[in-house]
Amino acid sequence: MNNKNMGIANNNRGFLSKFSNFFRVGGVYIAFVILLVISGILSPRTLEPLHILDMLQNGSVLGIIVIAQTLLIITRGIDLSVGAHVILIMLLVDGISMANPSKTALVIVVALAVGMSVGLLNGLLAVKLKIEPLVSSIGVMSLLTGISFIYTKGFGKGQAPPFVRELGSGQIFRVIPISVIVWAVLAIAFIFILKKTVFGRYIYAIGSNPKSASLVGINVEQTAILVYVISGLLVSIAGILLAGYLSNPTLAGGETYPLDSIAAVILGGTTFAGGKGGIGGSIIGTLIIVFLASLLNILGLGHPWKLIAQGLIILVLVFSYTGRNRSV
Amino acid sequence: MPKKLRKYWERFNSVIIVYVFLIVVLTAVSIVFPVFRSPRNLSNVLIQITPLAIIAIGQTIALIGGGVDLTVGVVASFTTVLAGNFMGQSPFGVFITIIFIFLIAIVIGTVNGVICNETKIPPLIVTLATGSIIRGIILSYRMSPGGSVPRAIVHFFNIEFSIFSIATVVLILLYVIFTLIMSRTKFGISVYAMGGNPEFARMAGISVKKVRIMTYIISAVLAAVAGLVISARTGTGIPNVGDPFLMDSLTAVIIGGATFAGGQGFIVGSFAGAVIVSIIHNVLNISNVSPFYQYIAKGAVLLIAMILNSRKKKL
Repeated sequence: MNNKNMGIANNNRGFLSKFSNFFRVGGVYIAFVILLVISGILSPRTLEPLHILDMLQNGSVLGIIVIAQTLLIITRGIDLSVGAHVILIMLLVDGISMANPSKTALVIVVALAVGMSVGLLNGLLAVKLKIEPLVSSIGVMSLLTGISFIYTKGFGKGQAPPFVRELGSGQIFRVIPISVIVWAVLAIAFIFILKKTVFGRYIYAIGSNPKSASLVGINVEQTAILVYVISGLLVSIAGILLAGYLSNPTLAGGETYPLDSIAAVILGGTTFAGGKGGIGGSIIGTLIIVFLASLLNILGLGHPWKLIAQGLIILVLVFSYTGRNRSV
Repeated sequence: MPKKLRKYWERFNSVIIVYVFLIVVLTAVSIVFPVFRSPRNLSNVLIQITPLAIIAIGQTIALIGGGVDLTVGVVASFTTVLAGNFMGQSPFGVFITIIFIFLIAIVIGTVNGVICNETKIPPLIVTLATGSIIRGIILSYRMSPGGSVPRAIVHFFNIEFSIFSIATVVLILLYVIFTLIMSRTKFGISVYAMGGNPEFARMAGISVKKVRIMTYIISAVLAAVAGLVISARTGTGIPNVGDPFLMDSLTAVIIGGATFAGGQGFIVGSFAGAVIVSIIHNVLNISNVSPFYQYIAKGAVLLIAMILNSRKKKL
């Protein structure tokens, strides 16, 4: 049924849908270049290498969360609990280690284990129990926020051990932030996994058509849950970096990650219908979000304008990718 | 079982189950927490229920129509901010502001409905994005609580008859009106038909696009009414006061028996859902549990309701 409709749509391709398809694949790069040119004109300082590296470091936590969100959206999932999740991991890393270097291994293991458990929970709810993932992850978000509050009694405490601090805020050769390198390594790894491995092909297969994926012998449920677990793991890595980046842990600040990460993924051309898109576009999407926020800041337009811009961007881009509704 | 009775059971079992559940919860809570029964606390519970239950009406209609509205919380916040800023400005301030607020709510609902109609973007994403835009507009206007709502409005909503206030009367009226609309009018039947199968509804001669826009307008206007009730209680404009209502309204509606698949659910069921959610909040308050546990309780209740709901769909 779905395929048939798509076939009809393909035959009736007008200029607009050709344009939108071109835009979906290449548009994000053009948009990014335009954004760079605009910010260069408005404030040349933004294009200085040091400022760019600074922004990349700022964006690395979001960037890793975006990789997780991309994997989920390709498989028709989504996760709104990423913000509460990343904050919980940061609080655990800081609170358990209390800046004690001997507990470095412990906090990292705890963080990764918690991350995978949260991913597993989200996966079981969405895949096994078939709850609308957007809503189930709102429920999980509330659970994680509650756990963060109970664990800290409302006030962030402790500090990350030196190694984690080095990961989050250190630099190689005093220039290149280590967190940016972590982001780049993860991005390259997942680009490779998606493009070159069997598991990557499974991810696209269950996203584009779960029924036929299961007919060719892919264990759809298992693969989808595994994607959730991997995403949980990625978010917990982002949480470790955040713990190293911020010198004082706070309970606030996670609220922006869900919408930021979804906006970045959509900007990059991954669609909600599943089975399409990839990490490369999402990274450029992340850069657009980060550079846009910085540009708005320089122009004296703060957080409210970012919310407005993002809402509009999501609507316009999803519309340009999916096209008009002709059925009802 | 007589045939007629069985028919009723088949049609209304979700409502009957949620009311039985409500009675069990009420009984259990009254026995375990004697404080709960005190008139003072009961009137507190009623005050807590009102905005949530009003928002739940709109959310139910959105879900029955096969959609969902994630903007209810920000619309309520927007209303309190506008009320706080403009109501005290002139002698006609209250009246004009209320009309202005409803106009804005109608615009928001229309925008949501039109985007859902004309694009293939899922309603969850549409209202997530419009919600972000509305939040941005609120915050560019007012970052922290402020402004004041005239005493007249505060007094009006809080006039009390024994444990009922005007706000409660408004609530009951809205439930009666919308229950009648959804069960007795062409519009109500159209919403159920559209949620069940939009294609069939269109073939049956229902103008699906208009009905869908109406569901989002109703949802936004009711969120604005809830916002007015909240501003009468707080007496000021608070830019994030509506945030909890998004999750609470979804929980209430899902406990009440509506599903994300659409075409199912009853407004009276959502009322029971709203009461149950409010009782949970109240019990956590009066039993001196740390407020932090509220997050856990709310998340758990939403997830359990969703799980039970997804079981029902399979049957």
